[in-house]
Amino acid sequence: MNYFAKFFLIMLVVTVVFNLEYFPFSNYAMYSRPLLPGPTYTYWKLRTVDQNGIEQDFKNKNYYLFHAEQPLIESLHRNQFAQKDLQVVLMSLLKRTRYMNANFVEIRLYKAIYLWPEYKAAMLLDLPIEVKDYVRLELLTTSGTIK
Amino acid sequence: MILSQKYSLEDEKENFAILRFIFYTLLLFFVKTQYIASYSQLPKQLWLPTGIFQIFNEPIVFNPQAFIYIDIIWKGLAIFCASGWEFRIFSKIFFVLTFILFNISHNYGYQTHTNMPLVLASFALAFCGNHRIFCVRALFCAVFLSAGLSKLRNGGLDWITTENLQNVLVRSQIYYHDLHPLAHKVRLNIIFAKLPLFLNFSAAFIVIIELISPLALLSKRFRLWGVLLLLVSQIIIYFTIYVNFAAYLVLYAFWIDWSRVHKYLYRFTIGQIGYYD
Repeated sequence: MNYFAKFFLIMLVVTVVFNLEYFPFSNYAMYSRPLLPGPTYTYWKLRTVDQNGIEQDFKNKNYYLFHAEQPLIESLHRNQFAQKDLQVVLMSLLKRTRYMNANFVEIRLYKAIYLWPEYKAAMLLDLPIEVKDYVRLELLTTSGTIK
Repeated sequence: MILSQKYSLEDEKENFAILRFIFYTLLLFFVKTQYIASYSQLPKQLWLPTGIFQIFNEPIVFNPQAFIYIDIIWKGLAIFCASGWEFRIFSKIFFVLTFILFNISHNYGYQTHTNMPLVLASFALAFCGNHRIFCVRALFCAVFLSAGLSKLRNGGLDWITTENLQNVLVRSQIYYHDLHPLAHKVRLNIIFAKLPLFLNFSAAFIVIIELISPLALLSKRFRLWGVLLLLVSQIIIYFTIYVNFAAYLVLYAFWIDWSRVHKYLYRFTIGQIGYYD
């Protein structure tokens, strides 16, 4: 076995044991934390003050590490949200919180949806869901609320 | 090692040649380089380099015109590697370019957890010599083991015993509402979401199969059904959680003995013709 192979296998073991995020496999906290209602799932707003994304004020002080999914951004764009503003907000939040040993990886724009009892009931009853009816996005920027 | 005990040198060479072709060809189909390049269009102030990219003070930016050429080079290298032409050289260059391209998004906060195993597999193929197939298999097992461990670390038994999976299934309907129309048509998540007890057992099953996945490196018997179960579970994930793991097919290919497949096909096609002649 050559040195590269040894290095590779050792790297794998170290990555798995120490849960290193630099080589992410499937070990995202996002997918491994239970998705349950509770104190850390209370509804909160995202605030930002400028295009540099420096200042944010969380209603909930439990910092969340969130995950800016490109498909999500695209879908918001198609729903005529201000994509550029949103990207700045999302990415700056991520920049600020990524290595803060945050306890959850999630974007909160949709967070309240699946916890609303009426929504969940509707889903379980197999009723047609119109997404727009259930998205309550309160994202504040310098230009106002994106809705 | 495991491989050398089972294959002759010729078989191993043939197996690798076929795998090489499959790996690099599938990468061309599954990897969307435009998606990766889109990150370099984000505002400069969002550049937060990680790992070795911390040596760059300025963000790596591909303007759309330059990226067209980079994309052509990347695809050309993949084709060279698939063909086996000067593989030792081109595979290494391919890995370096792939590593840079895929890590662009990491430096903007996004972590390509579905693509990273492919990047690391390209390292194993380029650098790990005769043990490259074993290394890719080990990578495959590490992916699932880390997923299982992560669930226990971050969620514990709550991940299994609560209504977690039910919530995930329901959320996916919205979260990925505009992706994977076939999966939305089947609506398997809605069917499963009505079966909480079944979901609890499913969650337990998923965690267990992920945790014991490294046994596939040691046990041929487990390899047969263990890897198959992981494949089935990822297909079910596509139809329930709307996460597409199609790129992992590249890694599943490393569990198949392609030299035997080739011999089998030869025997029942060209071999048969020869017999009747």
